[in-house]
Amino acid sequence: MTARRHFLLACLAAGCAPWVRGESMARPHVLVVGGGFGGATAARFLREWSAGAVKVTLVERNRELVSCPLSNRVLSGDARLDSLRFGYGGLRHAGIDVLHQDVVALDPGARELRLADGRHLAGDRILLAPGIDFQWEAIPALADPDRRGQVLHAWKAGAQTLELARRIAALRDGGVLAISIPRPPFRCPPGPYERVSLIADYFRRRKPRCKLLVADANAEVIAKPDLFRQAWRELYPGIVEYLPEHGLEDIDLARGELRTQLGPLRADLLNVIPPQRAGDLALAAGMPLAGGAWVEIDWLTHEAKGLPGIHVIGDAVAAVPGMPKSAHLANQQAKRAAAAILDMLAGRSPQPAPLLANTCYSFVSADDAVHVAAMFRYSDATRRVEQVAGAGGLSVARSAHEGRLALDWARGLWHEALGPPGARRAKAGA
Amino acid sequence: MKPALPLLAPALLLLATHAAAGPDDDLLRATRLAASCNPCHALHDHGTAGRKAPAARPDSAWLQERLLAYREQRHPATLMHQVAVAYSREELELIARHWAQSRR
Repeated sequence: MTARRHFLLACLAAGCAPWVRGESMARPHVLVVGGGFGGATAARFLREWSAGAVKVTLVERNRELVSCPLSNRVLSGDARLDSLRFGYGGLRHAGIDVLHQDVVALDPGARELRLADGRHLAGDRILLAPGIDFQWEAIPALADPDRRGQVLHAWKAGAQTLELARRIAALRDGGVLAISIPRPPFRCPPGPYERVSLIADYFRRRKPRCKLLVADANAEVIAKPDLFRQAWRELYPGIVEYLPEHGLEDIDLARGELRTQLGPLRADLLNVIPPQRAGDLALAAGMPLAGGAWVEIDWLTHEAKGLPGIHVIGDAVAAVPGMPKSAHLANQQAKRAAAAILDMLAGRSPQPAPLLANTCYSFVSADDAVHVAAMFRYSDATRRVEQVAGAGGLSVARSAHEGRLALDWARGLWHEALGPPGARRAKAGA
Repeated sequence: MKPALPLLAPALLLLATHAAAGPDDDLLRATRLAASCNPCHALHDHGTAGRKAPAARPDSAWLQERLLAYREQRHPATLMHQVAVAYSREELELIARHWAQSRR
């Protein structure tokens, strides 16, 4: 049987794909908005798993992806930001149309995007990976956009990462750095504590009289608590001072002071990780938001609730209990959504993989890392993804072996999203 | 313009044939299940820790036994025992077959 005949018979058996029924045989077209770990990975798997049968257009405003995984190592001088900057050449090489544009409007009914340059793009389905944006209104001193540069978040890797690294390097020995951590959900729950560990390691090596105040809105370290606490106690005594339940209420910019729920904290350098919500695009598109912040989805198809044909993945999604917002889960959601989209384009019930894995490595020193793993399975009964009881877990202890695994893991995520190293190289000045 | 069908057919063969249960259905399930291994194990361009791709040995019986050993906590691991326990024996068999076949 020829592939063509087999294909037609299979489509007939499946009830005929709508784009096969049509008079023209135009390829189905999926629009992907957002070229982070979720969107870029989804675009690549839509192409790979359809062997090019589906046209994929990725719309991403930036010309390069700067990896959040490993970016805390830039703050401690253990990595160069340039090593974490990647271009989208690997996606183009895979046959994906990449447009560096802002999306200014989304019409869910027409499944159409309007771009900043005036172009309209229509697709059979739209996949959004909007990432996160910040709830600036929760910090009155930073409500004015012009003031935000005075206090860095460095929670989207890039220019702020470099600037925070510069300010840390310029801190006098004996200076105090205060880091503010919000309540969850936020991107990368272990990230703030990894940041504390790596900056403390830098202080230990280079400026041993410096001190790091950790103003945490939470009652306890919310990820890998024993492993981080042990590292701080054993490796950085006298450097890290952990302050639970110090939720941020405001900032006194003139005094360099965090105003927390348990009183003011003065420091020479402030690093404030603001409360977060789904990316602006999700709000602009009128997505259904849980708690006004995160996109509610159908966990079988990854479609936004009430918006058929509009799929959402990654950090912007309203997660189920136990599910962090991580690059690894964005990768896993990307493949589930790609599979569901291809099924639906072929006129079949979506049958994406039932399992999602999450692994997050965190460095606790220049060389040593720890991990947390969690597994999630789709339940036909509840129509949701649920954490698998008895699966997942933590490192037994920090180790240089896990540090090497962490580097491999990041390279794996980069490859899945952006292709092989030669193809994903960022172009200077691009 | 080239006719679309020749481009579509080989690709959608894989997807469309899972309308009928059978070996092709397993193939599709295996491909999607095994994709969850990639970030840590695909060994695209890395190998700093010496960690091997799941099917560095094109021997599904060996890989299946190793995955089951992780699942049943019979083999020491950094984290694979935490991950494998979430899969059924049948899912691990599908994954083992997928990786073995993909490396031949």
